Amino acid sequence: MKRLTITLLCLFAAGVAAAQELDTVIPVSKMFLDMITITGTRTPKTLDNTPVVTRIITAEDIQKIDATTIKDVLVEEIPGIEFSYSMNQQVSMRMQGLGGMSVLFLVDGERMAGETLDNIDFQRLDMENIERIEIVKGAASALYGSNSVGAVVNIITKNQKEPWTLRLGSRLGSAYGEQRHCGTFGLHRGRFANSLDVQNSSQQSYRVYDKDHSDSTLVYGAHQWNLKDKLVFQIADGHQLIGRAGYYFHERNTSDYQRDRARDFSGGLRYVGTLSENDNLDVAYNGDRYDKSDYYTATGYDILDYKNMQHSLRALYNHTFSDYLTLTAGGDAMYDYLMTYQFADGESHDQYTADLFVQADWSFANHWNIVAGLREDYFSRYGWELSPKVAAMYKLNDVKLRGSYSKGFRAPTLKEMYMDFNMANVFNIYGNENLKSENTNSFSLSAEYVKNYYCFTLTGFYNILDDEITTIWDPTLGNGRGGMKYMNVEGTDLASLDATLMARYPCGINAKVSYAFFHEFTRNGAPNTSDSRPHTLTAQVDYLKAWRNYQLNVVLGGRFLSRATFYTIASSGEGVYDTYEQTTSQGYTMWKLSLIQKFYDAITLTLTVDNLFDYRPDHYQYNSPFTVGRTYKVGASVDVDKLVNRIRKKNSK
Amino acid sequence: MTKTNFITRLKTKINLLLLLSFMMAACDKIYDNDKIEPQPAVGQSYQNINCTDYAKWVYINLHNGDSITLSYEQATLPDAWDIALHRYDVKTNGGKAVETSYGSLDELKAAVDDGTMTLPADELWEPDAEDSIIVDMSHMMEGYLVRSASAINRVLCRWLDVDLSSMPPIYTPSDKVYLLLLRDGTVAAIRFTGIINQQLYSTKGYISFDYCYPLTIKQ
Repeated sequence: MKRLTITLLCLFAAGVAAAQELDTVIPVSKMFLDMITITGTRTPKTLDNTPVVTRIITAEDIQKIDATTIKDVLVEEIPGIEFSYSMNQQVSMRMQGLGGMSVLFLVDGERMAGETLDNIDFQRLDMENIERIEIVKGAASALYGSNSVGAVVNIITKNQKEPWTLRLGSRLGSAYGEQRHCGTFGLHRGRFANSLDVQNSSQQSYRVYDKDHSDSTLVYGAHQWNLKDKLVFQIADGHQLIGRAGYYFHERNTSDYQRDRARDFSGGLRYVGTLSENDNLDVAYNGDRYDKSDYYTATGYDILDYKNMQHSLRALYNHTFSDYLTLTAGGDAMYDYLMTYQFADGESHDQYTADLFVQADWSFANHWNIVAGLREDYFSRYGWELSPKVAAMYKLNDVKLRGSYSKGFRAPTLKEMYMDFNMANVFNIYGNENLKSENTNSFSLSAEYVKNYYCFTLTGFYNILDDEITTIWDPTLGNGRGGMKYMNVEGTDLASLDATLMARYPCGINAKVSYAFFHEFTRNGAPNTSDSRPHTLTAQVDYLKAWRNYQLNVVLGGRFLSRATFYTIASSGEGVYDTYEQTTSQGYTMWKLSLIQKFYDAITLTLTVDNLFDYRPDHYQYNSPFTVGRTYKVGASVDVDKLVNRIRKKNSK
Repeated sequence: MTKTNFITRLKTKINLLLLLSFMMAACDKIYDNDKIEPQPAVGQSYQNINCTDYAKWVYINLHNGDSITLSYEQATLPDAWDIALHRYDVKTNGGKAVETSYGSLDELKAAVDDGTMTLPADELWEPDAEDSIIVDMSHMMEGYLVRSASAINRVLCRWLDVDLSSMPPIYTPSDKVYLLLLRDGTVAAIRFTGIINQQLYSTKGYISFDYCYPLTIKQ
């Protein structure tokens, strides 16, 4: 510990020594309003001009958080999102009453295959070479179809622009044997621009003890590899062909003799073209295969027990009639194949889906912008689904008022329709081929005020959730012994309020505070079963100062999650799950202090004190942070291209 | 762009898509599903004995390799059996057991051959003792399990530690070789090798063990 403190002080001192001459203060940017967003309307628009409330997390934000995966970014930037453990320490996401299947995650607009206990594999979404993350809360099925019930999170990757770039970085943590190593190599020659990213991260198994040592939990260690390559070929001016390939490997140490493994193989080809001044076309194929297997240490056998393959084709066409009206039309087709140990005898099922959608984006009277759209989806195993939406914005000087209505739906998955799984001899879980889709009618109202250095946004959401898909105890199943079956249940109403204040001062101080309130209105006197916390808050304040050869950024960030009281289903003792027990989740707050130093615009040193106030839960629950207390991290990265260019420049003088 | 050029480029794109699809399907080759062969054992071995049913015992005759599965309530047992398995519980047919310090049958056999390992003293052998076993898990969610009185051999049951402090439980095998003194005075050496059926989606409750019988150990 003492050695680490000395190291941190030395590294800080080195930074101060390098700061020889004062440079001008970093200019205040035009804040957030010149940012481009695409997710809300599927056409590029500035954040200032989109009627759909969108939150953008920039590459700069990601660097301040020093994030490894999307999970690190979301918990520190978006209140109301919580990651916890479900059975067997599988990562599970909750967002204001909605589960992981109700939030659609996209990478450059493409869906991801695979799920575990109703959540995608969040470890796949590493934060190397990310341009920005766009988050649109509320239903968005009129543009994105199934799963976009509660929000769409779209991760936009960078395109290689410089002639060449090489960035190498590592980070070590003081606890859990945590390590992260990454490299990004980019090359731009003539019409070709390629970007290759590699990330490796690992963490050892560790045990956490309750305060009174009455109980303990072994947290499984894991390691993973993420490889991504993106090749852009400029066919002609305004015509691009984009090739994409990715490989992901994850291994979790679940026991001495067995490891859980996950792999993903993805690839795609996309054409983006400007056909004329007013016409744009975007056509893409995406293939994604997600596997899970068990690896046996003694025999070396690696046995596949889950395979989800998705092949999708999509097309999007925009036509601008004038500066005031843009029409968008598109369609998608997908083949979805699933083989899993949760089907009887390891059988497989598949289905085809297709959809068509149209949208009009109309600006008028200088102050108004309205977007309206309609989409029809077809599922070969399930049927049809119609999703409308309308969003409007009224701009008056520094104030923008936005309002929207949209329909969201989540089609039953192959797993939910065909499952037949023996749950450790306790009971069986059965699928249901007659499931309807879960759907929401989503309303939002928002006010935004932007003036000088400040931006304040207040948004209210009201989601009417119907036909929720969940497992229900059926005593007639399993030859009268009972069993769980996927069913549609009545649903619930979810209300939330988000408030965000951002400030950016010319002296280099930036601050943002986001607060989210959530309440569930149950129907017919049913108890509240949502474990989402009523109050959550994220906050970050940082100070940035740049000299000629040295840049210093001190970042203090934290989050607060209030306690939650809710009910869980329980048995009355007759083998019938017909009663409820009250449960409480502990509230907590966690803070992080980072010192990011940049030398010669090429070498970055990041020193982090995580869990600054040494928080440890009294009792580790599924949604507690599995922390052992305060920890430290040291990271370093080198932009080799910038260093070489600097040396060349110096030598040429 | 001429028509020929356009067709050539279109063909290239289609070929690339086909190549991508083919590469994804070919990924099955990296797994071992089709390559699994029974593990070689020093003496003999049992692979994937189905012990998934909490309500059943699997009775095994080490003399001839036979096995039979019967309900825990079955009053009439097989005429000849040496060892029985119920999930991870073990009982013997009037036998006794000792845990050795050896981690493999090879090591044990070498130690027996060179005289390092001799027959343990009488007082070290532990017979079966009255205990209870779980025979019905279906009420777990209601907070209770159905148990039934049964004799088990506590030494042999040490082959697997089941830590219930986390869910799912953590299973830690001892990896030790156990000596079993049968009712007829002959000796067997047993080493349990697994609890999972790798060919059946890693279902737990499938027990594998290697054994060496008969084993002659000097007094």
